[in-house]
Amino acid sequence: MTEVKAPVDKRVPVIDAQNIVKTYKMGDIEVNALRGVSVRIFAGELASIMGPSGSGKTTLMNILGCLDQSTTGSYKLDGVDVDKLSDDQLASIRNRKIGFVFQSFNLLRRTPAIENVEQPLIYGGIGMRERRERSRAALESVGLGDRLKHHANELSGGQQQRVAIARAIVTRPSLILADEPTGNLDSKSGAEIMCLFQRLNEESGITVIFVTHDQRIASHTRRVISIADGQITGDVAVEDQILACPDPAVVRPMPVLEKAKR
Amino acid sequence: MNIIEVIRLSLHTLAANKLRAALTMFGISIGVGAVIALLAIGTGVQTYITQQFTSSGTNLIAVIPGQIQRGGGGGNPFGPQVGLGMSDYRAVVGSVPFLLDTAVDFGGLGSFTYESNQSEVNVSGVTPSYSTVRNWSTRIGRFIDDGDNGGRSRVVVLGQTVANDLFPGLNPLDEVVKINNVPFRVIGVMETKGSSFLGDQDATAFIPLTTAQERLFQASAQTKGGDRRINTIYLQVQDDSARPIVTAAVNALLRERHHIAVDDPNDFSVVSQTELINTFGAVTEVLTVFLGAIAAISLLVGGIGIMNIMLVSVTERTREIGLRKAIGATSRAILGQFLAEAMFLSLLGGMIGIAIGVGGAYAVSRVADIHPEVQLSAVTLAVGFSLAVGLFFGIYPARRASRLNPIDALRFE
Repeated sequence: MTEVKAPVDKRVPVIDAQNIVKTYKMGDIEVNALRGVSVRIFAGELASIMGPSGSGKTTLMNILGCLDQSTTGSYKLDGVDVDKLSDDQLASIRNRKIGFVFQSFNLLRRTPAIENVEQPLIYGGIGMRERRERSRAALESVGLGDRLKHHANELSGGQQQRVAIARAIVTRPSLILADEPTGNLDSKSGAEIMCLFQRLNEESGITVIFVTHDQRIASHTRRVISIADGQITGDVAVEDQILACPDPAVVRPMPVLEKAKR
Repeated sequence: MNIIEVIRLSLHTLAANKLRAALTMFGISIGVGAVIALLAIGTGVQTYITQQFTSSGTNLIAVIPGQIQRGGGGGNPFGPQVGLGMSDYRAVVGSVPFLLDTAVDFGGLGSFTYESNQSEVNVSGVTPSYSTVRNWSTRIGRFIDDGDNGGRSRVVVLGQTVANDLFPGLNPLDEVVKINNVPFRVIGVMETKGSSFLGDQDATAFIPLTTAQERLFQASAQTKGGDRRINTIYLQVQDDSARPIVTAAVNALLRERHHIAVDDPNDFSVVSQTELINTFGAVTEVLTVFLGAIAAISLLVGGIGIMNIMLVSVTERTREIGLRKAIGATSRAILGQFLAEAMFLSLLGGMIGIAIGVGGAYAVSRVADIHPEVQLSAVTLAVGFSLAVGLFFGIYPARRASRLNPIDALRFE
C-alpha cells in the first residue's frame, strides 16, 4: 500500500469533510469521539473507513450519513453544506443522497421485499406506480427479481441483505454507506454481498463506503481510510484488491438498473 | 409524504398485528357501545315514564289527603287525621274553574273469593266518570254507572289480574264473588294496563262509590265532621295552561274549608301529572347522565389500553423507527404514522361500538318493557369521544416515537 497524495481535483467531491470534531458529554466528562477529521471522497469511489471499536469510525459514519452533526468543522455532502441544516432537512438529505446498509439488515419483518424497498421512495414523495417500478428494478438488479413478494423474514440472511441493498440504491443516492454489511453473514453469503457491492460500484458507478473493523473486508475496496482514537491514521490505496465475484465472465450485466438510471 | 401514505403505512402495521389490534379496538368498542346503549336505555326509560303517567289520563290533577310534596310525615293517605270528604269534593266541583271532568275514589283492601279461588287486592269505590278521567275502560261488560251508585249496588268491575286469579280460563261476567264476605256480581273486566314502576295496575277492582262508603268500608268512611271520607279527587283540566289556576284554586278552597292557618302546611296534596312527569323526568335525566358517565369511564379505560399498546409498539419498533428516520422519515412523518394507528384503532373501535350499542339497546327492548331510543347525538358524542380518546392517548406514544434519535434507535436491542 502506498500513501495517496491529497487529491488535486476539479471535481466536486461527494464527501468533503474538514476538521470534523465531535464531542459527547457523558455526565460531567467530555468525550472526544472525533478530533479533527478531514476526508474527501469522490464520486465513483469504493472506499472503506477502517478502525477498531471505539476508534470513532461509527461516529464518523453517523456524521457522514447525516444522522448526526459535528460539534465543529465543516461537512459538504454533494456540494451541500449540511452543518447548519435542521433535522427535517437532514432527513430529506438522507432520503435523497444516502443509502444505508446495516449489519443487521433492518428490514421490516412480515413485509414483502418489494415494500421494504419502496419505503424510502414513500418518504421521497414518489407516486405509487413509479415506486413499484423502481423497487422491482432495484430488486432485479440485486438478483431478487423472483422474490418480490417474499416477506423479509422468509428470506435467507444473504437475501435479506440484498433487499437492504436494493432499498439503499432505489433512491439513486450519491453515496452508499455500508456498516459492517457482512457482519451477520456466513462467508459464502458475505462474498456474494461483497461481489454485489463491487459490481454496483464498477458497473453503475455508485459511490460505496464500507465502515468496518475487518482488514479483509476493507481489502475489497480500493481505498482504506484508517481511523484510531478519533483521528485519521492512514489513507491508502489498496494494491491487491480482493475481487469477490468468482469470475468476471459470469457476472451478469444489470440492464434494469441502467434503464432505471437513465 | 401525504396523508394517504401515512394511513396506508399505519393500516399495514395494524394488519401485521391483527389480534393485538382487534383486542385493543375491542376496549374502545365496549366503551362506545356502553355509552350508546346506556344513553339509549336512559332515554327509553324517560319516554316510558312519561307514557305511564299520560296513560293514567291526560291533564290530570289528583287531590289526596296528607302532605306528600314536602316529603314530611303525615303522608299516609289512608289514615289522615282530617282527610278529604265528599263535601270537599262537592265544593271543588262547584267552585273551581276550567274542570273538564272529575272523579273520586274511596276504598280499602278487599279479600276476594270465588269458589276456592282467592285474591286480595285494593278495591276502589268510584264514580262513573272515573273510567273516562283515568282513560281506562272495560274490556268486557260495562263500568260502574249512575244507577249502580244511586242504588248502592253490589256490583264489581274486576281488574285483569283479579279476573285471572278468580276465574282462570272462565268468563267472570255475571258470576258472584265475595268481597270481605259480601257477595258482588261481576259486571265487567277492565282493560289490561300492565305492570309498571307503579306496580301491577291490573291488581285492582272497582265498585260503586256509595257501596264502598256505606256497605263495604263504612267503618273507615266516617270523618270527624260526619262527612263521608274519600281517598282521591281526580280533576281533569281543560289543558295544561289551566293547571296552575286549578291547583291554586283547589289549594285556596281546601285550606279555607279545613281551617288551616296561614303559616301551617296543607293537610292535603294537589299533585299534577305534569309535575310528576317533570320530577321523574329530572330524576331519569340525572340517571341517564350518570349511566353515560359510568360508560364513559370504560371508554377512558379503552383509551388507556390504546396508549399501553402504542407504547409497547413504539418500544418494539424502535429499530424500525430508527431505520425509517435513516431512510428519510421526518419526525412529523413518524408522529403521523403512530398517531394514525391510534386514531384508526379508536375510530374503528368506535364504529364497532356503535353496532354493539345499538344491538345492546335492541336486546334490552326485547326483554324489558321499555324501548331504548338510540339518538344521533349520543352516537356523535360517543364517536367524537372515542376519536378524542385516540388522539389524546395516541399522541404521547407517537411523540415518543417521533423524538427517538435515529442513531440510538438503530442500535436498540
